[in-house]
Amino acid sequence: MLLREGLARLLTDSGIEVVGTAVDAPMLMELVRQQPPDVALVDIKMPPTHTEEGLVAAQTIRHDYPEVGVLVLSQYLAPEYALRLLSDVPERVGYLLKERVTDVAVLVDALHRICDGECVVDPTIVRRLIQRPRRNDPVSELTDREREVLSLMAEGRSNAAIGRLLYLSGKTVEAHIRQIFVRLGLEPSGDDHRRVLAVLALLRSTGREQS
Amino acid sequence: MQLRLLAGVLVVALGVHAMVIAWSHPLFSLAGSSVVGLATLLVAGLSLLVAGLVYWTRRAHNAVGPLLLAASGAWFAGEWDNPEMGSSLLFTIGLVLSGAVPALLAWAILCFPRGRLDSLLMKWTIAAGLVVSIGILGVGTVLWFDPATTGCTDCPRNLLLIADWPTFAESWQRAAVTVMGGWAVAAMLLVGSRLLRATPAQRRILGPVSIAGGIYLGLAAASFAVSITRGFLGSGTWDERLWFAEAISMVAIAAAVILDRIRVARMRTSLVDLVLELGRSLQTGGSLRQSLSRLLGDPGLLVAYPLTDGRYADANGQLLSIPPIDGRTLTPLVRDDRTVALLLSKPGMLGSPELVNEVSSAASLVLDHERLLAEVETRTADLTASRVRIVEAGDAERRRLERNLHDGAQQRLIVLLLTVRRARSQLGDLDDASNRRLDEIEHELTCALEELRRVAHGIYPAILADEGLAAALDFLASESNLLVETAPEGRFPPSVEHAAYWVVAEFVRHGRATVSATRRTDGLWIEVSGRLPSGGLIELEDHLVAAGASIRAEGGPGGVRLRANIPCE
Repeated sequence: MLLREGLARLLTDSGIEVVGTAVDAPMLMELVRQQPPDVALVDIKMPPTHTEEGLVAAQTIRHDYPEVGVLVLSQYLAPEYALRLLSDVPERVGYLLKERVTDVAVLVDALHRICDGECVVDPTIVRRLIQRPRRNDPVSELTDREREVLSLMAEGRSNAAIGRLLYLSGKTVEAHIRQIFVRLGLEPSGDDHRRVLAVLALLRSTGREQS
Repeated sequence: MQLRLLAGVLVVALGVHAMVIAWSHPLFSLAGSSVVGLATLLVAGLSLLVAGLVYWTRRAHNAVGPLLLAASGAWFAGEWDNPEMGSSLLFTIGLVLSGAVPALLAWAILCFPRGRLDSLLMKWTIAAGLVVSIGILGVGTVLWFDPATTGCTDCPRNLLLIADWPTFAESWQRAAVTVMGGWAVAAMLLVGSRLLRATPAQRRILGPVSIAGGIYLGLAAASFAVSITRGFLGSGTWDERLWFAEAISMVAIAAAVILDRIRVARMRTSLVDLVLELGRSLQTGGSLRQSLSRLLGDPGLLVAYPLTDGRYADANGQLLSIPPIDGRTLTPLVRDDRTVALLLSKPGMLGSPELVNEVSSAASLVLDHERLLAEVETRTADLTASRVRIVEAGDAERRRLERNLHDGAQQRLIVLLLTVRRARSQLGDLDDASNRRLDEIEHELTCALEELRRVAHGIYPAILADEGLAAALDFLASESNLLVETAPEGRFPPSVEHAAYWVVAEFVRHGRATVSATRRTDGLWIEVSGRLPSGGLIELEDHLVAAGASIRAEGGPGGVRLRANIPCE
């Protein structure tokens, strides 16, 4: 399809090696099996039903080939799809809106970060999550600044990057992050692990009582 | 009425007269020899008389009553062939009628209770019995029989005597008695086979009369047989025993007839109860079915109403296949030549057409009411079904459109944006005007993509089908001024999720809204409050009713609160 070819060309132009392209899930799985790539770029919609084949394939890859990262492209703003992807194995995965691929820098950056073991969530989705009206939710207890930090964490930014973007010192960022962990009730453990949990808390906080 | 009274008085007079005769000349009578005999004569005759009068009174145009009366009369008149008789005319009539009782009673039994003989065989049998017993045995014998020659010197004159041929008369009579013996056996078999071929319900009605009648005809056959060797109807020991037995079986016949009248009267009472009960419960569909199945003792009874389009439905609008596939019997209830309903009952439960007529007239009002109810319910069901089909077709079409937008237009717009950006990077440094132009193009394309996603989501929210109601509502909340108070986890049938979602979406389209949805044992309960334009409820109802929901809405233009229960099968 046009987009697939266009993307392959774009990535090649940007110095990323495209080892192969697939038209559907079985072909994708075969490609990954034959020569596992660093990252598989997967459209959430695939033939034959164009519903969730891509998401299922992404989860399978994450499960069967832990060393292969997955970046899922979706046309849906709904965070539930991203949540499904992240809850499983919350590393080396990304979830971007499809039109994001037109911004080469963002796409290439996301691919590199996934390669490095990070999680990437589309900033638009994160922003909507932060702004969502909610009740009985620890995320609503956060200050505006803490929320800004959390949303950048959710996008997959490092402490240094967050400090740069918000014009804060590394220490201040760390203090904010510790405060976020406390407010979200996350027990001290490995920092990386808690970062992911904080993001999941954000994704899960859906503004309703769990019934 | 007067005819009945007259006939009754006549037969009573006949009976009293017969007794007097029998008493005064016991030698010529089986009854006259003892008080018991006299009482038997009287009781047997009178019981037939009473049964006949009762039947005649209740059913004026039925032959059974007059036939029983006639049999009673013939029974008493049989005593007239007595020397004490005095009147030659009555004496002669006595001679003629002395063998007529079995034929008359067989007629009454075979045409009970409708008053008509059902088959040609029955008609011929009865005709033969009357001709042989009155014509050949009665009149035929009397023509050649002079009582004086046989030793009855003080007997009155035989008015029909043509020639005094005693030997010929004896042979003639023997032949006639033999024929009558055979006839009585045939009549008995006919009564028996009629009973055996009847349906269980008919058997309940026919049983007592047929059994008593069969026994009577058997006894009559026996007494004819006893008389064959002798050649005439006499008064030996066996004759006397058989005569007593016949009298008892006649009383049994009469009792059976009267019992049947009591049964019918009771049934009428229950029918009156039925009408009263139906009148009280006229509001609810299916009440006739319940009352009738109780009345007739058939719990599986169904009442099917003909609809104007030729189909059949019960009072709740449930369509029924006619003719029934499960072997039920179909009984039409007809009024004014129009079938108002069909009763589907266990075979044989409704054997009596008389009962069907009673039901038809007793429940006429309810029948009409329920037929209209069935019509309305069926039409409503048809409408609901078509509404469901329309909504389902609409949903499927929306889903298809949403996919087409994503797979077609969106892909092309993205590729276009991609191409623009690649071109831009390949073009290298550009002047400000060109950069601005390209910025505009990129901005417009981004807006187009955003717009497209919004439109596609509005057409069909994929998240609803993929992730369920809670996720879809949350997403809607993130997009609009919606507060989700509670939303149930887990999935519901697609029709339920769609209906609930569209209701909320419709509210959201017109401003702030609050929703709370919960799962209960009877399905999904959803409560939405917000604003709706006038008539806004109707569109929502389409979706809700298509999913089988019950709805309650309150409030007005200032704010509407809608509560709906959508069942999950």
